[in-house]
Amino acid sequence: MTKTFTQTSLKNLSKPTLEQADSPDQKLYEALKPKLDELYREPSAETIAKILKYAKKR
Amino acid sequence: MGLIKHTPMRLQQVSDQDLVKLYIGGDEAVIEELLRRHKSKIFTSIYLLVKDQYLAEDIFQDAFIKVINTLRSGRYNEEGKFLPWVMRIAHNLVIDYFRKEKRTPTITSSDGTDVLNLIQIHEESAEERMLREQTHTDLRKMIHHLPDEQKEVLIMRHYADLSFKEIAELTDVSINTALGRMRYALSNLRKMMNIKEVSVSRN
Repeated sequence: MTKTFTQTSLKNLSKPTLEQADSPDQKLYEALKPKLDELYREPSAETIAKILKYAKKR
Repeated sequence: MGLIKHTPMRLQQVSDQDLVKLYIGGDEAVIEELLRRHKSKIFTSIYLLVKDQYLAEDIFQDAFIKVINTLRSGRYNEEGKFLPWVMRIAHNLVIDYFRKEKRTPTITSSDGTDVLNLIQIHEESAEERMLREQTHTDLRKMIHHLPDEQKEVLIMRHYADLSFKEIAELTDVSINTALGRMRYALSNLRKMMNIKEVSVSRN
């Protein structure tokens, strides 16, 4: 039987994602996402103010 | 790119690259928009790596000072994307910190709860707050228990929103290695949840 060669999609090669597969890992990731999102936190207003002050000093 | 006369509304529609060009061109106010877009992703990534709010604040600030200095000096590579570039700077600062320090201080109470969480004010019952905080603590602990290379990929993919190609470049591994590390990270998180009987749907 002749094996055919399928050229790898450059799009997939450049940006592979777990989302491409309906795998148990992907399902777990989808389940975890909302909880992982709850861990987001922000830098303090003081830190932001310091950065902005520095950015405006030339 | 021509001169962009921006209003706050229009600024939100300008790409990162164009904001960077505006900053280099002397429009200092646009750094605020770049911060607004990316502060949460970058800060959370740093925080989850160093496990300390105050240290994360310092590293976040240092990262942006490096960003500003690089933009001012004209050394910014326009071919690179802004967020992965800042993440690379922040990541290097975190690595520098771990090289200097043997341990990572964490400000926790005696039961392991992040003290800073207790400061948050929410309109929720004490029980709801305890459950939420416990869930967060459980998840943070599980993430911290992951091997470093898996933890890095999980944080960069989920919190910093980097592609696997960008993560691969940042951590100097192949894309497949980065993908494999993410799969191991998820698999290990699942195992830890099973052992600890933690439900991801707990609210």
